[in-house]
Amino acid sequence: MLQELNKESQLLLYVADELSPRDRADVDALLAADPLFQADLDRLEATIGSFDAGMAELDEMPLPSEASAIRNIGQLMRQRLTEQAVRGADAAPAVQPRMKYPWWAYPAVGAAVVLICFVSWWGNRPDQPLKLPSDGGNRIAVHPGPLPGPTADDGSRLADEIQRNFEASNPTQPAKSVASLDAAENQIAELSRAQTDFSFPDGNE
Amino acid sequence: MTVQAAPQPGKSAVDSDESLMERLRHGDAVAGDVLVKRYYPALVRYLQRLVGKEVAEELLQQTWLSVLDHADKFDPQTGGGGFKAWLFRIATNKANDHWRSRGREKAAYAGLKLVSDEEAPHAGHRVEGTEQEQKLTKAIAQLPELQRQVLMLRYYSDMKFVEIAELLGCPLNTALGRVHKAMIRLKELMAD
Repeated sequence: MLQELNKESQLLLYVADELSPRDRADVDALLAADPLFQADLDRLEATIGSFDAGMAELDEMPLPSEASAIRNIGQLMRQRLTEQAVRGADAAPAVQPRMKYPWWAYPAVGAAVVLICFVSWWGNRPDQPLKLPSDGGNRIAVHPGPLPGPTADDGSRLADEIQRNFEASNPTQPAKSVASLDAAENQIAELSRAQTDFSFPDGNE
Repeated sequence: MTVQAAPQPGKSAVDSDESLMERLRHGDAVAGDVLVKRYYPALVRYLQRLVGKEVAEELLQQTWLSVLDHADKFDPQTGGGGFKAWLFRIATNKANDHWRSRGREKAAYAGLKLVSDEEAPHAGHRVEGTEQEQKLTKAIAQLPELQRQVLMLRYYSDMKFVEIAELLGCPLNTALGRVHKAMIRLKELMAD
């Protein structure tokens, strides 16, 4: 520490006996080696001595009205303590009113409200295509794509097969049915033509 | 420099400053009375040397009210010097506040001469003292504020220079330099 201090500071600490033993030994060595440094120390000690003597004389003068001054401060402090106590009482939390329902009812109701809101939201949300996360080879194509099971072609083939089976079991019925169907179609065609050729005698529609 | 210790009558382990502060913190006004009485002479003289007799009483009251207001912040484990250092720090801050507020007024007046005359005790209130004492009082009042502060703090608080530097928030070398300059300046003023 000694190296960081200038000469005056070193001497002040030396006189005040606030140096470490090692630093004090260093200063002692400097004083022994340097008469000018020793003279500075002597001057400083004389200055401090006269200052202390002067201050001691000043402090011999009695303090005016010491007792009343102490009493006044005591009264002020009591007043301030009272104010602090009042403020502390005002700041203390008020006693909480008794709850109408058991304490556990409040969180339970809160949880129920949250659950109802969630279900309501879930039920009303727009339909979203289901997106499954990609997992490499196990990917399942859901949309778009052919569904497993019978397709439209399968249905046609099934209908043809049923028709063939039916015609095989009733060989005369299909010809009769086709003949009557042809006759009906011819009648419808004639009626259509008759309607198309209809017109008013005076040429007005 | 021989330092005058703050009188501490009847101080024991039971009623140490810290234990009294603990009691005061819990609203024990009697503990406050003991502390005020214990530090009154050193503290009021310290303030008198800094700001003059008229203002010292007012600052003393403010200091003790601040002690009450900030009692919760006092921690004897932090910093050096314990309660005494904390008390003198508060008093020093009050003096600094006074100087700052007075500095605004001072701008309207001229020069250090007028200020130092103002600092000197008024004739009507002067307590009897020798010419030498009056000269020293005036010389102290003529010191620059920072030099006067550190010199009086050293004399009245009985704190080590290291603690004083920490209290003032300045390097040790700076605090010691101010003390040394103040001593030289006082010597010159007393020789005039």
